[in-house]
Amino acid sequence: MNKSNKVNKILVLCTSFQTILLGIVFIIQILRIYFNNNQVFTKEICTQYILEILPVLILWILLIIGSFIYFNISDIKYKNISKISNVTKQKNLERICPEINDKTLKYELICIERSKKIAKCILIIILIISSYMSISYLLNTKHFDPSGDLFKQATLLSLHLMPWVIITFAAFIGYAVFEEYKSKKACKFLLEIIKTNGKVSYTVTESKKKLLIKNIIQLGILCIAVVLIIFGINNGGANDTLQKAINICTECIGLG
Amino acid sequence: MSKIKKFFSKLKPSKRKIIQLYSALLYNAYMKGFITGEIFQGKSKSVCLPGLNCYSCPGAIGACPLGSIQNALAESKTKLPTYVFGIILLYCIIFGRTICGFLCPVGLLQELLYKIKTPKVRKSKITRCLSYFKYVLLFVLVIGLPLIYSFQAKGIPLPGFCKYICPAGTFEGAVFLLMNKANQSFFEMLGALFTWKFILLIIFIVASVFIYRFFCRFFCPLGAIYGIFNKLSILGVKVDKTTCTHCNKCITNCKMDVKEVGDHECIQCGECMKECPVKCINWKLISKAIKEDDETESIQNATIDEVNTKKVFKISRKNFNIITYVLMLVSLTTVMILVNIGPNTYKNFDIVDDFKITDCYNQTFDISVDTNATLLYFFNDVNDLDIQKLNSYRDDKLNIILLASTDISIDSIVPNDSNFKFVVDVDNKLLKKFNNGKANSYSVFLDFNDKILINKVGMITDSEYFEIINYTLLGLTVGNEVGNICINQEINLIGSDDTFSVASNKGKITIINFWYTDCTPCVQELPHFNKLYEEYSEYVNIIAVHEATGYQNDPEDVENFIKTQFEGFSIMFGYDNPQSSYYTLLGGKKAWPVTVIVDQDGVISNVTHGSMTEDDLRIEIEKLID
Repeated sequence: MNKSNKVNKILVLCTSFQTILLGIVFIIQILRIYFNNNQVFTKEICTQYILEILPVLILWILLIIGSFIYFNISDIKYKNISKISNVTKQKNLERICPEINDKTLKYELICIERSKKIAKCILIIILIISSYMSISYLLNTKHFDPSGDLFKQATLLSLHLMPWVIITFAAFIGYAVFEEYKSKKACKFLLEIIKTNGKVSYTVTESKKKLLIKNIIQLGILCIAVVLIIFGINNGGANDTLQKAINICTECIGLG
Repeated sequence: MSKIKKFFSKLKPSKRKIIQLYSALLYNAYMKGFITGEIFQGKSKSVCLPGLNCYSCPGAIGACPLGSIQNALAESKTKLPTYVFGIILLYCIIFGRTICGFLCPVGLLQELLYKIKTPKVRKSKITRCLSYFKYVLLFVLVIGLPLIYSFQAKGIPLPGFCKYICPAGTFEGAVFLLMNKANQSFFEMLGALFTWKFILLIIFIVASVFIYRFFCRFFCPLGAIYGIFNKLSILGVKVDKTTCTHCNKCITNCKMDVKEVGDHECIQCGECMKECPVKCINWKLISKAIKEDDETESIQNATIDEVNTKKVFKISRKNFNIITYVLMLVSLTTVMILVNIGPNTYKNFDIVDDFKITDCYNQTFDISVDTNATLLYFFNDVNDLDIQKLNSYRDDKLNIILLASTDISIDSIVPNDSNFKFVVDVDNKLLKKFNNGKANSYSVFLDFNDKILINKVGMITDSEYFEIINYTLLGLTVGNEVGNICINQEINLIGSDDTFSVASNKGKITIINFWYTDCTPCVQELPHFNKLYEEYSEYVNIIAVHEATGYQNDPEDVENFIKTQFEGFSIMFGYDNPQSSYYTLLGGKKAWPVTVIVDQDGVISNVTHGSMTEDDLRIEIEKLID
């Protein structure tokens, strides 16, 4: 089974399960209202019982939105290219142009794949942190007051969760854009090889522009470092360092 | 002969080893520290060294970068750590991980251990994964812990990595300090923490024999920081991608967990240059300045146009090497001379064995022969001399020697008395034996064994006379050891104009605790002292004396610290005398905390170097009450 199909199926399962769970919870709440002799389903009573299940409701909303984003973002322009393995790409190319430099090809494609993997890792870490922060907030009963105003409660919840939702959105979009860029680069590289019939030796050269940018960054960081040092000396940072260094740090040497 | 030559040529260190050795010697240039057991206290310690070198090492002349980062972060609630961050950033952008390859003593030690002929553990995917562990240590112990403790209500600094992991501290600091006889009192401070750290040190040493740079690859947060800037650094290795054939020999032969030359795991040692078949790996900045041997011929035949290019004005590799070695030697020698050679002055409790004078009556006096106690008083101006007071000190068992820096007529000042001597101390030669700095007046008191008991700026106070000189003349031992009469000094109280002294507190037990604000164990134990004081207040007086011998001795800062951290405490807080430290008088050796317990008669019953638990303190108090 393809990896992305697996992920899609897991997402569908989670979303379905969450929907069923939410349905059950709703039914339970309705039954509670009914069997508590509150047969009149007034606005206040309904609000009170919905408040009790607000965390589950919000989790469901987040999951639905998240799945929607994932399914749409993953449908990128060069999807087919990124799915084909490097070995297959190389074999296809060797059929078309037998004279290609296979080591260069491998190196270039490996570099592109590596950067995509790193981006995916960063995305997963951001997702884990956002999920943990959101869920831990939702599961904390201190944040809910069943007797309170539903609209106010929902607003407060949204305000607390919104930053994490935005971060997740941004991470997904950023990853999608990055993956598209890299896949485009891989395509360009492969097309050039095919155009020149494998005769061009595709070597990676650091363009003058890139070198200039690198030098500017180096100079910039150097200047920042010098400014920080000067500011630190004025601030008394040098004295603090000295004060600590001239006394024996008993903790550092394992004494005390 | 050729066999012998071959043998020695194998032993010949590479240039990189020479630079590593040079940096290790430079960082620990204070050789005197290894002999005296004291750490260097010069102003160069405000500068962080690039490599990992504990600042508690007796020889260290600079601050440890990791320790400085942690301490700076621990104080980030009140002050932004811009100075330390600036220095680290400067090293990152200039050197990157070239520091690991060339300028780190810990790296050198590991490489030397790796040379031991044993089976070796090769790098693999597992070691590559493990190499990311150092980033975890960086974020948790180096950045996280100090920040968390800083922002808590009781912001006590906690250098997490230094305290729990760093082998440099254990080896360079603890082992070298404990090896010295002068630091025997430190053995009282050994506990579970030292055991843990020592075991860890052994593990690092043994592992380094089998695994190349075991600590650097998996544990060093400093390497992690430098690695982030490795690709951007100005110095280091670079691959010429136009000529590179991607044979990967550089990566396969490299012992570090690199994926490409110059990535965050690369220590920029340059060993891969020998492996490259097409010679496409070079040094970043230096290769532009040095011409290779094969360029010489072409330059000799160069046309005018070629002469105008940079190629012709490069220095030859041989000349570059010579210049580098000479600069290294000169800089190392200069630093060693500056830090090690300085006037040796007598300190408290030293025995004076070299003191001979000829007084104004041409009578010689040799302290090593004389059996009396001696009081030396140095002065610049006759107005600084209180002859009446000195007259009142006269005793058959006491020699009083007055030393003037200028030639003064003394007839009207001193009587011709065998116990009263007057000497002109030309150019303050004799004063310099006791005091490096300038002083208008200076007092030194030596007991019957020529041991210095008072060594201070200014005239002796009445309390010092009665509590030190008088007791000594009566045959009682005044000192800083258990069983001695506690040496007395007035301590200025913080937050008031009053003073406190052991002598004025006779009849009650006195507990003097020496501490300072950046000392975590000190700050953590003071609440115990306060609790016990509130329990035993009718029998005990407790005073916590803040050190004042460092460069930042602002009583106002200390007062503010006390108000925030120790609000509502009943114990007294005092501030040590910067000119004549009570902490040093009572045997302190730049390690805190120190607790001195004096009984109701003014005799020292206990001296503890290191933290005291509440139970230990309670036992000591109850012993004295009984």
